Amino acid sequence: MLRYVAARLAAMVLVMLLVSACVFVLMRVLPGDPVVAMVGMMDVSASTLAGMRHSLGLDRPLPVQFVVWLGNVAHGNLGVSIRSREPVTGVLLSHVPVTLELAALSLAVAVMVAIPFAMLAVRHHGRWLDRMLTAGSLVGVSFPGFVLALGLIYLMSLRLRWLPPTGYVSPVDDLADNLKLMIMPTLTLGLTSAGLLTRLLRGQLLEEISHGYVRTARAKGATERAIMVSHVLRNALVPFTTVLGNEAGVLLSGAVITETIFALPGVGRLAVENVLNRDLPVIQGVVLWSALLYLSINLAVDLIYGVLDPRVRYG
Amino acid sequence: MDMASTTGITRRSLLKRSLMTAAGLSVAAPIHQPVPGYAAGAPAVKGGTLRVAIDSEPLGPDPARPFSRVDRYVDLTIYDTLFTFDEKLRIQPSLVARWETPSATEYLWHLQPGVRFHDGTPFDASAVKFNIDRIQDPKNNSPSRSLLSTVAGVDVVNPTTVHVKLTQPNAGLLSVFADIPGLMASPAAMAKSGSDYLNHPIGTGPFVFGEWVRDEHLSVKRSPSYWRRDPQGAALPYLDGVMFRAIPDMQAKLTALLTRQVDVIDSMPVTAVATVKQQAQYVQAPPLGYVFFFMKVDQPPFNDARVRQALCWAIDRPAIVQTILRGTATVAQGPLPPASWAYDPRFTAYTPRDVGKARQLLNAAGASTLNFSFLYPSEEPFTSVAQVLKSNWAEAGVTANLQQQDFSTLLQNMYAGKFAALMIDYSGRIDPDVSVGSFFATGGLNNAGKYSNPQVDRLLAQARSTSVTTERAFLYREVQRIVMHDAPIGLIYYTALSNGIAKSVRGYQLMADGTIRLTNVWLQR
Repeated sequence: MLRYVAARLAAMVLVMLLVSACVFVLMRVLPGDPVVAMVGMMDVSASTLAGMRHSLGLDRPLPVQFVVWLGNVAHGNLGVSIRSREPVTGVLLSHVPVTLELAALSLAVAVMVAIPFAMLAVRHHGRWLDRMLTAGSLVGVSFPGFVLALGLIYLMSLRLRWLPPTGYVSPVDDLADNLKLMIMPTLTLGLTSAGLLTRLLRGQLLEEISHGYVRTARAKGATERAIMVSHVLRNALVPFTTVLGNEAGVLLSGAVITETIFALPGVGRLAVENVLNRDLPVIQGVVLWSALLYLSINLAVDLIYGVLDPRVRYG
Repeated sequence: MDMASTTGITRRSLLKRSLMTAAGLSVAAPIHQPVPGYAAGAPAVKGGTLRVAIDSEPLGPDPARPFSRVDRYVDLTIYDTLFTFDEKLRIQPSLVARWETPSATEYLWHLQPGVRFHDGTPFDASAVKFNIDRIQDPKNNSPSRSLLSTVAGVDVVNPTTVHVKLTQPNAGLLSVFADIPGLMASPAAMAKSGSDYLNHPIGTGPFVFGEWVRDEHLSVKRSPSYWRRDPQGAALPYLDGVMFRAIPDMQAKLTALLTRQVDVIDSMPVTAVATVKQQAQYVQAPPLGYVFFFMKVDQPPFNDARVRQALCWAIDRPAIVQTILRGTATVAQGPLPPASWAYDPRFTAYTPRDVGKARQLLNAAGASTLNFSFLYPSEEPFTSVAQVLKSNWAEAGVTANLQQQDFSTLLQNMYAGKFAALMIDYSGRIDPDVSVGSFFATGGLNNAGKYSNPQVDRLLAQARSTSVTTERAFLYREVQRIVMHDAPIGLIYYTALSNGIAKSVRGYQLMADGTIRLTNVWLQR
């Protein structure tokens, strides 16, 4: 198992290197200039623009820029933001906690909705409750997140005046305010994911229930509750975990639209703003972070398989 | 359209005609709408924090660095400018208390005595020299350097007097120092903080920098020793502080105002104006900027003025203003906008729309099947405006191939001259030397279409070398007539920034250049 993990970690480094190189080249091949994006249309001469590009090293050959950047990364230095002049590591570290909190809360909502709803649907399979839950989860999957977000703002903020519509307060500063501000973004993301997870888990549970071991357990006198929780659910959780891992990856790399609508200073908003502004060092930092997360979650999911299903062997 | 036929203007004729222009200037007085309560002179209440929602994160409060519109909001709380301007965009004293012009290429600036930076160091002539030198130093790559190209040097005469030498006369220069290049930062603070200055900016402004948590908020708090007083002699500012917060989504920003999470929003969808008027206060600045399109004048098909004029005649500008902008903008007639002291309310161009004339001009130019690429930003209202332009031009037999581009790419193409026609907006500057000169002078900073007309160059140079406002207004109006005939750009409508503010906000001033002045703002309890 240790050898397996070591091999996977080595492969991760290689993948991240490739991802970085691809993004580095792509961002420079695509049209758009970080200096021009920064100054806008403000009476600037061509020589001043050239001077600004030179001072940022943007006039050096592409391979040189990449090697310099890579050398800095190897020393733990992700560079400095072109716009804010802040170190990219610091910029990332200030945005990651927001996204982590949002992702964790959203996943919790998704799981807490998906598992009971799926089990309820299976228990009432073919009846009206099952049909309602199935239809409800389909709506969850198909409903665009931004519509849900705007609907929630309209209802909770404008109509009922229960929740503030936008903003972020660190939980360290004020936990109550933080949670109040996180309710709507969390519901937006959590309910959308819950739809997908409910449908998937319902299907898996129905498949597992038809297997012979369920009949055997029933014959041995196990209660329906014990069969569902200890046998059926556990087996159905293997594909569920794969999708959950994928959802976690998506959420942790930043929920772009949700973070923008609710003005949350997370990684998603950071990525979008800096792509539009062509702030290359920050984009590189965000991409590295996302790649690292995806690969780590994939590895974690693979290791969880072994816990959920003892037949899985690593080699 | 009244077309210019002058080939040059003598001093005598200039004086005569400028007298006539002076009569017109009073008509051109810009609209200024003070917020209710301010004009009535209600007694100000001290205290409270004003929460301002802005479009994007500021680039940072450093006068020599690049800046965006939201930076102006923040910077003017921490810093004062050397000069300022009134509602009619006339230059007024600020940190420079009074000034003399010993010759056309010299200024003597007399500074406000006794002003100190927030760090306690004195604001004096050497601080002025430091700040201007810093922008001019090529090593600092300040984007404002181009605007100071006529400044030959700054000398300290004594602690309260500065001698500014110019390479050539520049009547518009003082207006530049009423904007970002005129913000005075503490030299001692710069030396102390070094590269971390953005987190410790020090000015002489009404508010002292508080903290900047990136993507969360930037706060400033009342300066206890601000040098300005209100008319009753009471200390300014009235507010305890200001909190700026970036809310990029316009709908979310509007909701934040309506639910009283913020007191000010710096923009809103045109569809929300009625709601804001009803539930809050709607403030609109006098129109200073414009939405327009460049045409590449040095290349076919737009090297023929008739083709450019045809495009201008074919546009239904009132329809764009009424349907897309719901009447929140005004049809642009020339590059001198209503807020400018040089504005001529009688001047019209390409009005009313005349598709037949457009067809005639195209036929005469041999371009009856004109086909070109039209670049524009991939956001509203540009996307809707582009659709209307396309259908307007189609009526004249012209095919515009619409190409949306994100702002960064569009600007890159504009600066590189890689376009046939390109639509963009310009926020405008308070003096026509920058806002007109930079667009139409040969080699001008914003002359992306490569327009060149020696007659326009002469008039612009003449306008630069005289400091008499009526003479300058006359000359810029001449330029306006010529360039609207030549049509190197197609003007569509004048833009005026609008803010939504809570009903409790008093004394709020939204200036034509989009800046907000918070020194006199107070919150009604």
